[in-house]
Amino acid sequence: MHPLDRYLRRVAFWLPPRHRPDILEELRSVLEDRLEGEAAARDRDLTEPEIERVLQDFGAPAIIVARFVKRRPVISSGLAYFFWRVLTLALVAILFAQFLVFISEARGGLSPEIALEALERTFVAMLLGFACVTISFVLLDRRYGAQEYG
Amino acid sequence: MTEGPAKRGIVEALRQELRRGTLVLAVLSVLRAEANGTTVRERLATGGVEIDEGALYPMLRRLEDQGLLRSEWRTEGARRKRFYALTEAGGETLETLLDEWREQTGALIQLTERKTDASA
Repeated sequence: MHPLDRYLRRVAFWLPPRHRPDILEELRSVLEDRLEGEAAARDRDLTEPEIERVLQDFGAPAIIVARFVKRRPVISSGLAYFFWRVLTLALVAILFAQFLVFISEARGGLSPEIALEALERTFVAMLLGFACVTISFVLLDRRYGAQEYG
Repeated sequence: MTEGPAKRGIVEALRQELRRGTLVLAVLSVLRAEANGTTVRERLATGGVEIDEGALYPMLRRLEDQGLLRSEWRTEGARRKRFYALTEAGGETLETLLDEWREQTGALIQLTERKTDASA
């Protein structure tokens, strides 16, 4: 497969279906022009590594798609600081609570089963905590439309 | 202030931020006359504004989605190319942005001259 086709296939993978044909056609046209220009400057056909270099200079497929398809971030930068603070506090609180539960369970004697159960419970609790904090902030962000400052 | 590579990184980031603020204005300006992406890039380069192709085409697409540009496909030689031009809204937006830019530039010139006078 020609390097350009490989490159465009990688771009197509990330593009939303609605925009795909149009953007791909434009990119193909632009890149074919560019490759033709490079070949004319060298007065010969480009080698495969040279074609790859031109495509690399144009931009990595995911980066190109990210520029075409701008989306609002999951949590805007205005709330990002608070999200990380609340998440850290929540995870520390969960760890502490699970530790207390583990201590109380281990009073009757520590066994590998108790320790493993405590680890599993802590892991699940932290995952739930992460999900709850993240969903709360996503909803906050949508509701209040936090602005970017600075 | 941090020295060496860290300082250079900060300065470069601020420089890029300054450039980004005027790129849209530059692109709208050169599209007073219809052009394809390659020609837009050449016109910008003639005016001393450099932009990566990987950044230009997404910007053109975005400006079109915002109703500031319109585009159509045309066959030029053996290749189909997309040509862009300002819409009426794009023209009005360009004039508004130019007025804003002139005002801000004037204010900055005053501020920097005042600082120069104060330090003289």
